Amino acid sequence: MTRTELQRLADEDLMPLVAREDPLAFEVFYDRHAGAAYSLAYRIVGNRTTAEDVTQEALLSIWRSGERYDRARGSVRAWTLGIVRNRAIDLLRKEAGRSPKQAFDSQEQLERRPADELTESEALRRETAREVRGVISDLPHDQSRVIQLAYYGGFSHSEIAEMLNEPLGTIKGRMRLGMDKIRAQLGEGF
Amino acid sequence: MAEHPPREDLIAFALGALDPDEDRRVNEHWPGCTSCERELTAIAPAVAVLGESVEQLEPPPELKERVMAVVRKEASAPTPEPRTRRRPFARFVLRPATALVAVAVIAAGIGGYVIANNGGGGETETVAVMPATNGIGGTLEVDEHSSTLKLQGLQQLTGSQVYQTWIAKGQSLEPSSSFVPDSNGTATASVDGHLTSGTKVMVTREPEPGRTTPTMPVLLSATVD
Repeated sequence: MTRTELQRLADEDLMPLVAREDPLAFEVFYDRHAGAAYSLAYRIVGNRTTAEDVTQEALLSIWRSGERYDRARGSVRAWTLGIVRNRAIDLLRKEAGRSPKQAFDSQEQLERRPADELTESEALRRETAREVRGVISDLPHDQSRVIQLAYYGGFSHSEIAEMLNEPLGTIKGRMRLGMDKIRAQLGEGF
Repeated sequence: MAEHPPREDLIAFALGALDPDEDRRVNEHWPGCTSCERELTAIAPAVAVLGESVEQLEPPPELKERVMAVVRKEASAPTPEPRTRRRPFARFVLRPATALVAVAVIAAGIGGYVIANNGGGGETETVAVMPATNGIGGTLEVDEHSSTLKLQGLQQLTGSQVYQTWIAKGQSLEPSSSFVPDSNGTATASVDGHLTSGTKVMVTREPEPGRTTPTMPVLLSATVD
C-alpha cells in the first residue's frame, strides 16, 4: 500500500498494518499522533528531553505490540495518549523527590511555528486542543485543580487531600463533580 | 464478585488517582461487572479530553528520525529461525506462581528486586515446556537475541487490559512485550534481548498497556538455571 493510500485510512484500519510491522503504516501513525503524544508528555514531565524519551518509549512500545489495540477499547488517539500518560507518570514516580509540573505551560515555553507554516492537520490539532482546554478551564478552580493534579501530576486522591489539607471526601467530590461537568459538556458538543 | 466500588472511586480509577491497593481492588472487580463497565465507558471520553487538551507542541524532527530508525531496523530484521534446538544443560523452568508468592515478588520488585543469579551466563538456545497448571501452560523458546513465549489457557481480557511480560535481572525490572490472547486463550509474545543465567521472565495481567512496573500479581515466571 502506498503512503497516500495509507494516509487515507482511518486510524482503526491503520493499526492492523502497524501490527503486521509495516514501517510505512507506522510512520503515518507517527505523523498523526506523535505531536499530541509529545505535547502530553511535556505537559506531565515539564522537560523537553525527558518528554522526547517518554514519547519515544511509548511509541516504540506501540510499534512492538501494535496488535494490542482493540477498536472496542476506544479511539487510537485516546489509547495512545493513555500509554504516554502512564509512561510519563511512572517516570515521575520513579524519580523520588521530583515534583510534577502543576501549572499550564506559559506561552513562551512553547515551541511554536508561525501560523502560516502550520499544516492543515497541525492547525486543526491545535484548534481542537484549544476547544477542549476551554471545557476544562470552565470548571470551578477547586475542581479543575484536583483533576489536573491527578491526571497530569500522577497524584492519588489521598495524596491530593494531604497536599491541599482537605478531607479525602472533599477531594473525591470535587473530582466527581468536575469530571461529570466535562462529560456533560462533551455531550453538548462543547 | 466483590462489592461495587463507590462511583467516586470509579472516577478516580479512570483518572489513575486511586492508591495502589484501591486501584488493585477496582481493577479486579470491574471486568465483567456490567454496571461498572458502563460507568467506566461513560467517563472514558472525559478522561481522554484531558490528554488532548494540553497546549500542542511540535516534536523535534530528530525524535521522528530516532523512532523511525528503530522501526525500520526492526522491520527489516530477519525473522528468527525456528527455535527447535535443545540444549539439555541450559534449562528454563516456567512455573506458576501462587497469588501470595506473586504479591511478595511484586512488592520486592518495587522495593529493590533481587533474584538469584546462578552464575554461568553461557549462551542458551533452549525450548522449555511448562506443564499446564491452573489451566495455563506454555513454552519459552530461547534464542541468542530474542525469545518467544507461547502460552495457552489464558483468561480473556476486558477493557484495556493486556498481559505484560517483564524481565528481571539483578536489581533491574524492565517491561518487555505485552500481548492479548486470541479467542482460544492462546498467545505468542516475543521477549527481546539475550536472556542470561539468572534472568527471570514473568507475566502479569495489567489494566492497560504502557505500565513500567507491575501492578498485578505474577501469573507465571521463568528463571534461567
